[in-house]
Amino acid sequence: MSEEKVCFDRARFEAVLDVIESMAVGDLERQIPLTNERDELDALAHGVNVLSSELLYRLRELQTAQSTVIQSGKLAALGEVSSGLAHELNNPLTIVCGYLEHIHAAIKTASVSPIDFAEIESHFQKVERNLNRMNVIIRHIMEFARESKPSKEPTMLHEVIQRSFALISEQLRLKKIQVETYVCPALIAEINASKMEQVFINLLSNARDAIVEAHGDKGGKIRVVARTVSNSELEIEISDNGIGMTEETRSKIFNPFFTTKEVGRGTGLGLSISHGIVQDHGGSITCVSERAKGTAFHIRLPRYSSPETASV
Amino acid sequence: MNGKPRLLFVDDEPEILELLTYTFRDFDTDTALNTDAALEILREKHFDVLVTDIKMPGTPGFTLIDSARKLSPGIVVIVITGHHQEVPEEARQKVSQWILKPFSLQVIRGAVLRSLEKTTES
Repeated sequence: MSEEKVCFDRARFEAVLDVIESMAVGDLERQIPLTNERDELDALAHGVNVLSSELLYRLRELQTAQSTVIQSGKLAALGEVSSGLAHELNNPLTIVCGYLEHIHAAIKTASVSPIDFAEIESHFQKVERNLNRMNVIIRHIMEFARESKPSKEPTMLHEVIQRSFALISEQLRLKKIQVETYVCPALIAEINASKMEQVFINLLSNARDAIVEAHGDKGGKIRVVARTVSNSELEIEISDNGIGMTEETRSKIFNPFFTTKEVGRGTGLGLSISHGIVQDHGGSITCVSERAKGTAFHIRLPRYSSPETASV
Repeated sequence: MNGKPRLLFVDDEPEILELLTYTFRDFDTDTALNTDAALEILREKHFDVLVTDIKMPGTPGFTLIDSARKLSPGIVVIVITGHHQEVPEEARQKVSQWILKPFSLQVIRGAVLRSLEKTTES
């Protein structure tokens, strides 16, 4: 191996590592100075800079959102998302920091044991893969945190349902909860996607809690069915085989601050917010439940008919 | 202790297991993706150190810790977790180190080496 190939600049590499280590402990303000080399290390430094600015920007956005959220009642959904976000980011961040430590160690000992470039390359690939993974997670959060426009747009319903699942799929997997979805890909509703996502996440996390309460770690099943029910309406049914409710509980679930969860676990706002959102869409939300059997929510929304279809 | 120390890593994230195996490539290591798989390995071999996550699909990590201490008496337990929570009272006695993700490899290597030194001293 020629000497020129050992081209790692230790000082530059240490600067990258230093900034990533600061990120790991929550300091996202630092940026790595770029050189004119335009090599792999510069590409990596650039990637890390973009990632940390994105994280910082989103974190601030989340903080701002959090302070106004209580008023708008978005707190319940946001709490779910932030704890999921922290958990989701910790594993890839551990992997990124870990392999950078190995690369660093290899460079430091290069004078006594030659650098195995194939191995370094494989370490870099793992770093890159996990930075991308973090990027995907952040993009999801961006979509969720984006200030929703008050206006409604024709939206593919299955996409909204898919995005809602993406945000809590890790938690469902951990609790061994199977998910069955039967959503016609052609269903289009005139909705505010981020608001409806909030409704679905709320219903899905309630279903998860009901299943855990009934079956502990044995898991359970959530079923989502979306179908057309008439020329003017479509229906989304979200059902679970969880603990179910008594008639008395069921009659109060849409009341603000009503909760059966222990202190600190539920705000009692989720379902009342969901109810409000569905009503704002000109729809309705109803619930049937049987103790020890399970619960099903039915959301009815006006169907979207395109101007051409309408005129036919 | 005869030969290299034996370590068992348990985490539901395969890439974390891969990273730990590489980091401790100078040791004898085994990995498992969940409690049940880990218990199967523990029934067959003796381990000096168990490094495990707590929140995993299926049987929780705490059950693994209790069973591991019965199957491999003297085993040192190190917890790695992404959940920033108070260390539960009942865990304090059983767990030698509680390491939060993201962790530095120096920290985890240090924790394993220190626990092994303590085992050989005692």
